[in-house]
This record gives sequence, C-alpha cells and structure tokens, in this order.
Amino acid sequence: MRSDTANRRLYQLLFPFLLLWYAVVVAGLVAVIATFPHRPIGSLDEIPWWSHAVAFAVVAVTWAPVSAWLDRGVHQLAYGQRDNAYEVAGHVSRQLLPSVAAALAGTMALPYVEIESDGRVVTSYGKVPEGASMVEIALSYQEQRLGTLRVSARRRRDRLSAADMRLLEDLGRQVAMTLYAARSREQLVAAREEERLRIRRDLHDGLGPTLASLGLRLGVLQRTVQDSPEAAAELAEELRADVRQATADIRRLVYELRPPMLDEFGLVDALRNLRSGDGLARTVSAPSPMPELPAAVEVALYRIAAEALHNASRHSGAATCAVELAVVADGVTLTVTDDGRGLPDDYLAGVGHRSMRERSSELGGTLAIGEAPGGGTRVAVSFAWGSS
Amino acid sequence: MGRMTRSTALRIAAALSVLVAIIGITLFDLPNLVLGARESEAPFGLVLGSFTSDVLALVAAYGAWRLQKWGAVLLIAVNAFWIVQAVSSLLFDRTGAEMVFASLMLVHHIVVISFCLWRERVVSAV
Repeated sequence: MRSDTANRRLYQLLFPFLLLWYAVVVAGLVAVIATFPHRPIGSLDEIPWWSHAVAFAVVAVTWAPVSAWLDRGVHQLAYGQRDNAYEVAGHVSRQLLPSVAAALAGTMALPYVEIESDGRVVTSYGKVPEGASMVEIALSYQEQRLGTLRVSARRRRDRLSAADMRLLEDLGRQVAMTLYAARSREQLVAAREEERLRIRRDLHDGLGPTLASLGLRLGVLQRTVQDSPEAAAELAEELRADVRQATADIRRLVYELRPPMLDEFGLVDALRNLRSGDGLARTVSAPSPMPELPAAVEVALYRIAAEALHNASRHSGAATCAVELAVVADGVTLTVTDDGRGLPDDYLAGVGHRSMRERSSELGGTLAIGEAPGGGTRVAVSFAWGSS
Repeated sequence: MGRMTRSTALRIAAALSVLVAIIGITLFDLPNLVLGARESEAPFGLVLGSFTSDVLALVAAYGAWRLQKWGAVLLIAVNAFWIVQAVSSLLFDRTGAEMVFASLMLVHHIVVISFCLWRERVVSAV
C-alpha cells in the first residue's frame, strides 16, 4: 500500500534525523556553557576539545531514554496519526468483511486484526507480535451487540494510544455496519429458503394429497352415481367438505404470504379490522390520505401491530390500545401504546418480541419496546425509505 | 504520557510557531528586506533564509492546526533548523538581550518539537 511505504520512509528518515539533531544540539549547548566566560566567541575553533568530550558523555548517558522517547513519538507521528478519520472510514466501509480486517490493519499499521461474531472468528488478518497486548472493541449497531473487534498493539511492550482507540471506535461502527449488512443478507437468504421450504411442505403434504385424493374419489363418484345414487350423494358431501378444507388451506397459505386484508382494505383499515383475540378497545390514527408504502413495509407494520396488540391483550391486562401511524418524507413510524401493566422488571424478550425485532431489522428498521409515558407499554417501529 | 490530546498539542505547537514566525517577520525579516541587500543590518543570505523559514513555519502551522501529518513534520523540520540558529546565537551574539532572546527561542523550539511528537496517554489493554 502506498501510504504504508510513505509512513515507513517518514519514520526511517525522521527518527535518525532527530537523533543526529539531538547530538548536535547537545554539543552546541555544552559549547555555550563551556565558552560562557569568554563569550561571544569568534569562531567554532575557540570551543575547547573537552566540551565535545562532555557533550559526547551527555549524549551517551541520555541516549537510551531520549532515543526511546523520540522513537515512540516519531512512530506515533508516522503510523499512529491519520489526517482524516472519515477518509479511512470511507475506505473501510467499501470493503466487505474478509477484507475489512486487512484494510484496518493496512490503514492503521496494525499487525493483527480479528473480527468475531456469535462466538466465532469471522475473519482475521496478520499475526500477533510476540508479547504485544490486545485491545477489544465492541461492535454494535442499532443497539444490538454484533461482535467484537480485536486488534493487537503495534509492537512488543507497546500499547495503542487514546487517539488510536478513538479512531478504532469510529471504524468499529463502520465494521459493525458491514457485519450487520453481511448478517442481514445471510438472514434474508435463510428466511427466503425457510419460506420456500414451508410453502413446498404445505403444498406437498397438505394440498397435494388432498387434491390427489379428491381426484380418486371423483372417479369413484363417477362410477357409483348410476348404480347407487345415495352412496354417491354421501360421497359428494364428503368431497365438498374436503374441497372446503383445501380452500381454507390455500387461504391460510396466501394469508401467510401477505395478509389479503392489506390488498382488500389498505393498511389503515386492515389495522382497524385486526383481531387481537379479545375485546381490547382500539383507536387507529393515520394520515389521511395514507401515502402508499412499500409492500414489504406494509406487511411488516401489519404483523408487528398484530403482535403488539396480541401481547397487549394477552399479557398486559390493557383495556385500550392506541395505534398510530406517522409518515414523514423519508420514513414511516408505527406506535402501539396500551394502558396495561407495562413491562415487568424482570422482562425477558420472548418469541413475539424477537419476531417483531427480526421483522423490523430485515428491512433495516428500528424497533423500540418500553414504558409508555402514562404507564403501559409502547412499541414503536420506524422504517426509513433508504433502509428498506 | 500526559492527558493532553494529540490534537491540542499540535494546535498549541502551531499557535506558538505562528507567534514566533510573525515576530521574526515583523522585527527582523521585513525591516532588512526593505533595506535591501546592500544596506541590510544582517547578512542578506541570513535574512532570506530567516524569511523563508518563517514562511515555511506559517505553512507548517496551518497544516498542524488542521491536524495534518505533513504540517507536524514540517513544523519539526523548521523548529529543528531554528534550534541550530538559536544555539549559534547563544555562541556568537554579543549582547545580553540577544542571549536572553536566543534562550527563550531555544525553549520555545524544544517545546514545539515535543508537542509535535506528543503521544497521548496509553490506554489499558486486555
């Protein structure tokens, strides 16, 4: 990398230059003291020889601490400082996960970078120098802990500076976003495959045999209708019940793909007609006219509202519930507020809450579940058009 | 290392260098440049060198103030040059005032270089 070469050259030039310069300055200062009684001097020849010997001794005695200090300072200047954190961040965000570690290591001159997620090392780059310390940075996005970024110090017995840590934390946010994007893509692919499997299973195990059975029994009906009209009538009745069952199965399948009410009534009326399972009084407020939303967002809002209403009626003992839809230029927010008991202190997210969170994060939305201002529970989900 | 951040250290170094460069330009460079090569009180080569280093210091200070690496490196180079000048002044200048001024400048240049090489407090590692 070009910047690496430039950094290395800067270090290789500046460090010896400053060491040499230090020796010259010490020699000069000792000469000033040595010639002080006779100052000003006319030429350098007037500096006594022992002045140089003293200067040499001073440089020799102070060499170790001064050279170590200069080394650390020049090393930090050459490798540690980055002129523009956003430039580095932009560079990092353009890389995909396997190359993010390499980009981080390259741009910050770190010998070892590791990204861990779900307890496994997703990617790593380089090798930990012997005896170098490791630093961990939590990778979080949208209040979700996604993993850990681990980096090693640049050298043995050295540590990263606070400026390095600040830059790493900034870059950690970019890494978390990349991790989140990679994970979301995996989740989307997995969800699509699961959905396909479920539909295949429903069609193969449910509708398929039902329709095959119907076909066979229609053949029997055809043969018996002449000889035994009564038996045929009985069989026809059974067939009718089976057709009704098959129709219900198809409706269920279609409903699971996309609630038909959304197409029949639109989102607002679908929310008004949503059954929560009991007599929970409900108010639904929305802009009029309701702007058209992306189909996936409509389904997610509908499902999340259904789950929130279900939870309100089943767990919180609420009597009323307010559903509010707010649409702004770049997004939509759904808020479901009930007047129930609120979340218990020892609240743990259950299947329903996880499902709501998954539905929102699938489309890049944010979900917040907490106490409502006047008591009760408030579920708020927001989707930005850019994110969905 | 100290608790001062690196950006603060670089900005202090830049401000100190601007101050010294402006003093140099207004009290030494410009009066001698106006007098010209023949009537200049100091050797004209020295005046030109001083003026160049002062202008470089202003450019370097701008870079260091913007926290640019090149600014810090240029500031180190200019102040290293100035230190040699200050030591020469301590050796060869005649008056006590010149001696005091050179001593002050020596301290100033060392402080600026130290700030340019400033390392922030190291953080605890796992």
